[in-house]
Amino acid sequence: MKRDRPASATDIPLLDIDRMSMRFGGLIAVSDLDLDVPEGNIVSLIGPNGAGKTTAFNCVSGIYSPTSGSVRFEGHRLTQSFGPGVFWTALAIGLVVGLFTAAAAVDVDRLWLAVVKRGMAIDEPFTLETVRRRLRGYFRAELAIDQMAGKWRVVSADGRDVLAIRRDLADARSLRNQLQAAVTARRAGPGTIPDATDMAGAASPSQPQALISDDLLDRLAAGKARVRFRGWAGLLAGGLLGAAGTIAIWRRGRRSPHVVARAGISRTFQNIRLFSNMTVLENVLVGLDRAIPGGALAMLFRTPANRRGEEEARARAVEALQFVGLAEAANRIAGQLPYGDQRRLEIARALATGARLILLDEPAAGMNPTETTELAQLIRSIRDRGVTVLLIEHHMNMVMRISDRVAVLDHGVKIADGTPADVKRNRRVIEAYLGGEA
Amino acid sequence: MSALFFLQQCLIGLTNGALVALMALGYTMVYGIIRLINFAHGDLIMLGACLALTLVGAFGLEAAGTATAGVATWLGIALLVGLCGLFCGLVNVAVDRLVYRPLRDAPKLAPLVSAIGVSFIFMNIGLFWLGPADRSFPQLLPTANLLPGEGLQFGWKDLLVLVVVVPLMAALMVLVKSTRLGKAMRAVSQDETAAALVGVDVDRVIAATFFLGGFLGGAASVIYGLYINTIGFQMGFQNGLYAFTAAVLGGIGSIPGAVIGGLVIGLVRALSTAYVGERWAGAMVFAILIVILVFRPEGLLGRRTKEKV
Repeated sequence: MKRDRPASATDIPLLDIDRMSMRFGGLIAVSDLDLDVPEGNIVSLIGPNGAGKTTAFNCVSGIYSPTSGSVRFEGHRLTQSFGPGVFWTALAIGLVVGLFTAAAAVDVDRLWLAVVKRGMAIDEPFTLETVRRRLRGYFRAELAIDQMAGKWRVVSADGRDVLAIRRDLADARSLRNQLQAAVTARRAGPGTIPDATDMAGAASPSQPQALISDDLLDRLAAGKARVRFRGWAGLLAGGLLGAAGTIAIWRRGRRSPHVVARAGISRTFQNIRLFSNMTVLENVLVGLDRAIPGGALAMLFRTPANRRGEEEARARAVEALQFVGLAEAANRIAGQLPYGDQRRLEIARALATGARLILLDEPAAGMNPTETTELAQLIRSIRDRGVTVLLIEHHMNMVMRISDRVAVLDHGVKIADGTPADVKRNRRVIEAYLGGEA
Repeated sequence: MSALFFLQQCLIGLTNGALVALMALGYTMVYGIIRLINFAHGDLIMLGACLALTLVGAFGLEAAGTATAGVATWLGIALLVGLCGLFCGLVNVAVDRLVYRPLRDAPKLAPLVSAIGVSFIFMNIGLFWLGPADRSFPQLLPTANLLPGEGLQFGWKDLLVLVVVVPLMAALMVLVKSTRLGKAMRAVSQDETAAALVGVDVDRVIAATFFLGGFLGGAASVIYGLYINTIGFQMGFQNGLYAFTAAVLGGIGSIPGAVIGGLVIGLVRALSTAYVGERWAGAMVFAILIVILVFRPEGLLGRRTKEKV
């Protein structure tokens, strides 16, 4: 399909919308839209209410991600690239999620019993060192000592299995050491009986084996491998899921409005969206943020570079305000401006970002004929500054007077695209606007 | 019940209130920018206090027995405030990144419930860190009275609260009022989409807000430890409740509102402790909250919120 382009068009159109569709559930708002916006033109998108014009704008400006198709600006899709920042973030989040999963997998309840609860029973200073030692004990499935009802018990690391009860702490300690030796020996290999010399200081060397059944000894010996396996498995599974999830969320939001805006597309809204509690000048300055160098500390201490940046930004903001004729109102609160001025402020804010394509969503809505004429003049002078304009508008007079090209949408489908004169004569356009099968 | 006694209670109230205000800022800033009541903030402060206690041990800061605190003590306290602030700020940013950001487009209830979950996680980390019992925080500053005469008591600890809180709040006001980050924060709070469309990286601005709120919370945790001298893993809940109440009282989302709300709560608590009885202090605070909210539902300095489209 060959399109007739105005003479000024270069090879690559500034904005190239290619078979873009947007569905909301079952509703198709925009269907396979193809639209080129050549640099330095005023292109209008018109159509009856509900034709999908604003949806198309939202897709272009990154508020929606199109269901299918692509939007290219100067030949590039405007998406965040997968940089080291994303990689490290995914890694860090994976690690944190992994640690939590590992804690869950090795049983938070037992971990808590092993590390904290026993601290309540034994009057031992609770320091980071204690926590470290008990955590290590838990992961090595070592035996521990616990106090209950004035008696000392030899217990498994998590305190679930009680192996023996003694009245005396020293007694319990030595018994714990013997039993630990037995468990360690069993771990080294079944059938290995600990050497008697290992049990130096034991009350009665032959006692430990008698105290615990073979079954329990096996279970305690296996405990270390089990806890470690669960820990690593949890870390790995949680880490992978966390990292993958982070990247999935990042992919979903990678075509975000601020990326699109920074690349050079800016827009205004059908229902004005100014920062209405801020002054007129501040509204414009928000768009100039990234022109100012320096981080948070530079801002707070106002380094020379930062101050110079602020001054430059201010000068550019004032220039943008002069361009739309609002320089005198610079210090007024935006929300208190008359309606027409608010619209022009929104245009100034969009222009000040340094955009090369500006999307205007019904800028003439609610304006009287004089204001509309002034607006038409303003839009022409925007183009003369070298900024391309894509316009949604219902004022047909204005559209036909100022547009270089007009595209017509109806029920989400483009039904015509050409010069104003062509479109005016197009039968499908007349049908769409007047209805019926004329 | 002399006038002097009344004055003394007011002084106590204002000092306490400044501390509450510092905590309230974390609630109000986060609410202001993403309309989320960050229930985990109180417990974040508790974690800051845990770190402060550990650092006091690590630095070997000793309880001062003399009438004036040495330079080393003041430097140590400044370092504590900085490190705990940094720690809490970074933890807050991490929580935002990990928990709240993935839920940014979800219904408002999802991040709210997640915040309660985060608060429980923090509380358990605190339990691991501090142990189950309350711990006493060393008295680093001398107890001498700074005011002449016998009448009014105003010690080093009270001075410390003001010396830390007032400059931090002033810096915050300047930051929000006149820097580009502040402008971006105000813009995001009013219209996130419009801000993004003029090139503001909304996620970064939100992260910066979480950092600032967390930093102030961390500073508050050090001051809390030095002022109250007892910390425990459950301290986050009650302090968070008072701080949140202060934010609501002042008009949640408004920074000067949080400061005024904090001071009001401090005063009410001190005066009702003195004149009515300590056990009634909490009831008085919430009674006054209810009365104020009946007449000004948006809080003392809050704006009437327009329904966002």
